[in-house]
Amino acid sequence: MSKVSQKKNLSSIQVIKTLQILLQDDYSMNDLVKKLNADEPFPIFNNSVISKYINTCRYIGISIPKVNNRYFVSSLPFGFKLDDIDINTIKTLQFIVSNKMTKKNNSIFDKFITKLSRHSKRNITTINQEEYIYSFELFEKAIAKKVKIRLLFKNQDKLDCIPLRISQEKNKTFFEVFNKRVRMIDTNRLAGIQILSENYIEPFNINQVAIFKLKGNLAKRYQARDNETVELNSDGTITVTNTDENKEVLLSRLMRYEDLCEIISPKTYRDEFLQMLVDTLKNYGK
Amino acid sequence: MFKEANKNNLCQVSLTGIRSLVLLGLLIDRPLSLDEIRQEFLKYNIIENSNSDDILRIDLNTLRSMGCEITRAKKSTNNKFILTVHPFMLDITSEEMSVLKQAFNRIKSDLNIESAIHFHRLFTKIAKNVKNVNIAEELIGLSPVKHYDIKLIDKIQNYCKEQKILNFIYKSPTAKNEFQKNVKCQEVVLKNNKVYLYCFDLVNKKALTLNLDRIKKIISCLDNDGDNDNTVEKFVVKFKLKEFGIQGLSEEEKILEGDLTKGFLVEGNYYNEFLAYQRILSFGSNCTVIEPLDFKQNIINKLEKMKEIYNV
Repeated sequence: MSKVSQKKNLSSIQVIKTLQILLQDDYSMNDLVKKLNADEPFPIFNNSVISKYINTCRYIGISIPKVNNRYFVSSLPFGFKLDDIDINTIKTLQFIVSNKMTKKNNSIFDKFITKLSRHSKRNITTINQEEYIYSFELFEKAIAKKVKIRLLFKNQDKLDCIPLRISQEKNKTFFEVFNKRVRMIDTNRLAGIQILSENYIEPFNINQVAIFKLKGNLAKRYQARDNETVELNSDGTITVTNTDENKEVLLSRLMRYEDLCEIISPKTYRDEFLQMLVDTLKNYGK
Repeated sequence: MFKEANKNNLCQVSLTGIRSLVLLGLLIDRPLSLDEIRQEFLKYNIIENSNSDDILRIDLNTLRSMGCEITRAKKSTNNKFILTVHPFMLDITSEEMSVLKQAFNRIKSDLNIESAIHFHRLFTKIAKNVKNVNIAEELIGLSPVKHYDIKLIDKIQNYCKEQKILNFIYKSPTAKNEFQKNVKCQEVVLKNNKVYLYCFDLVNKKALTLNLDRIKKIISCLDNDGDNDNTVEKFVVKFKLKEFGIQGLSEEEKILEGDLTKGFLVEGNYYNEFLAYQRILSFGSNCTVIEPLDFKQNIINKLEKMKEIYNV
């Protein structure tokens, strides 16, 4: 092995180390000195050396602002390119997180956006986070504490129930709750939410596995979703095992498959599907 | 990408540090041969013509020692150095991924084809820069159009704008063989996580909904000369909705009258009758068809047939 293949530039290594640390978080000069010397056998980084390395990064166009005496990378000239469409797409997600998700999730998502911004060529401005919807906080808190909640409806109704999860369908946000059966409550119908002191034990398997059989042309053209496995039967039908899909969403989808579909299990799904058919026929006086 | 160095102005900066960062940036951008690196360094004024290539090799070693995986320049790589992994890749935590996933799932069902492609491109772009392979796969996995050829979607969307006459090979899942279709392109839509081409079959004279994934080969694409003015009349259904349930109304539907207490009278304008049946059935017991009467009767027949399956 030639000598060249073993040689490295120490000063370059230190510049890269400084940049790596600055990409992780915002740091004061003192923090940087401590962080950078932490892995060294003896201290080699001091204020003057680090300033030189920060200047080096800035010299080639890496944006390293100093705000409130803290340094951070705000964009990299060799980071990935985000165009206007990408930025708007990210903002769509930001809007959902800031308006429909908890404070904790907001702060996690903000960290993600900061990372994206630091590793990209342009800054992504975080949208102004106004008030978070407090009910989402309470709902998730109740799930974490395994306590029941009381939903207060705009029409004065009340429903004591077990909180399951928050879900979104067709641009509407639902609280999935359990009271005798799983219900999806449109959050627009709610006036408030109250945490009750009563604890609960999960009375059932929330992430139900559903099995249904498809026949005819549908069996031939069916494209399994990510949460499904398909088994081909000798009579040309297929058996689909579906996990973790919201029951109401699944049953609504299976309605579309008409008589080419039969729910095999669980029995509760079969019964509920049959009830849905009976109720729909009643609409027509049948 | 970088600004040219002014050697009279290099106090309090490390020139070797500049070289390493520039080299890293260049290799992130594209694979380069030793000579190309030299030319770029000369362009940025960070080496002299008289400097030997050993300087460049030392810079490459420096990057390798900092965790960059750079292939050797060999015949198989066209004598170029390829950077495969570097320490500046994005480190997305599983917690961050989970929030991103939750947020995306909340809007996924409402995406139209354009926004689905925007998300697909964004997720792919981020995934290429992510350190953890599993997170990268999970990101791409979120895209509802991940199984589709995006270039084909773009192309067919353009054909639709001009209502081009398209001749292509189509593989129907129910037919043994592939067959040719001659259609007038109308619209590309994303429905239930699948991309469909709404088009008018010029041979059988009917509106079709074809899964784009099954278009195997485009044979020809001709301008619409006006002789094929087969405007598809939308299939109109009037129905009553007690409540929206988990379904919101789609762009195809409008409320004619009603409110939350009385229920709603809705008019649906569907591309064809088949899509109308699917949509109406998916509303379940919240929905009652008013007209057309034969459509209403067919819905009843379908429901009775479905009920028979469970009445064993």
